Amino acid sequence: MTRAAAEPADGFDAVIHAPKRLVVCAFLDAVVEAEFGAVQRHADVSASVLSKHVAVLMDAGYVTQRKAVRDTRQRVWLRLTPEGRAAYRGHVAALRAIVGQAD
Amino acid sequence: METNEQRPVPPTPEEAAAALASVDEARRGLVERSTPVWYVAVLSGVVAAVALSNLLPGLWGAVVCVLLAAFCGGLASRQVRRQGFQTRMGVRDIAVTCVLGGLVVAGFIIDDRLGLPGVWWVVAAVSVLVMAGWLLLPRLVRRGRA
Repeated sequence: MTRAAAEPADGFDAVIHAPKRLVVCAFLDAVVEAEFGAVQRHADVSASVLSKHVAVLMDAGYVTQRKAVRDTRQRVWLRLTPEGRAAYRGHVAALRAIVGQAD
Repeated sequence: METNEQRPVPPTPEEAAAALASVDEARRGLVERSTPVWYVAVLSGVVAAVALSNLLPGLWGAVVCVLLAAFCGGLASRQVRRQGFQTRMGVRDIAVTCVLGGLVVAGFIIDDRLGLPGVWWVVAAVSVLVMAGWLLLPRLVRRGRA
């Protein structure tokens, strides 16, 4: 396989590009907010792995979390920040550009 | 473990295509777990009931509307908690909301200007048809593509 152009495509984001983080961002981009468990099922990862991915996204300022109690249990709800949404969409556009360059 | 991996260089076209495929898969999975039929059926009934509540005498119409709004809010909240996510309104959802609102406004104008209270039956029927189209059309399109 050959690498794409020497310069990174505009909008390419290494934080988002990790496969599971990309799936998490794709899911969160399609919703207003999602419960941690729903994201976990959707991304098909363990809770600990998802926690680490979410921590990375939160450190980047791409995701915020809200805690709510339901049925006496605390639930964590995740949502993309405006910056996270813009970064995700820019990243997807960059991926499309990379694929488009190859066509 | 990939949580700390950083890629200093962009992916190859093959890797980018695979990443885009995972994005499409994630979105498709969300659509497949979208709003259940019973939920839209109940909402359709509520929308029709809101239209027909205008036929009630005095303040009863307003009272029923408030109760239906509270019921709708509770139902939507329960559905969000049950499925674990709150979907974003797309262009189609906004269009349907505008059409339903427009129908109610048209009903008020016709009822007020022409004195035809029977128009609310028409508004209710058309509202149910709009809701049915909102629910069924995307499913039929998906089946057609499959």
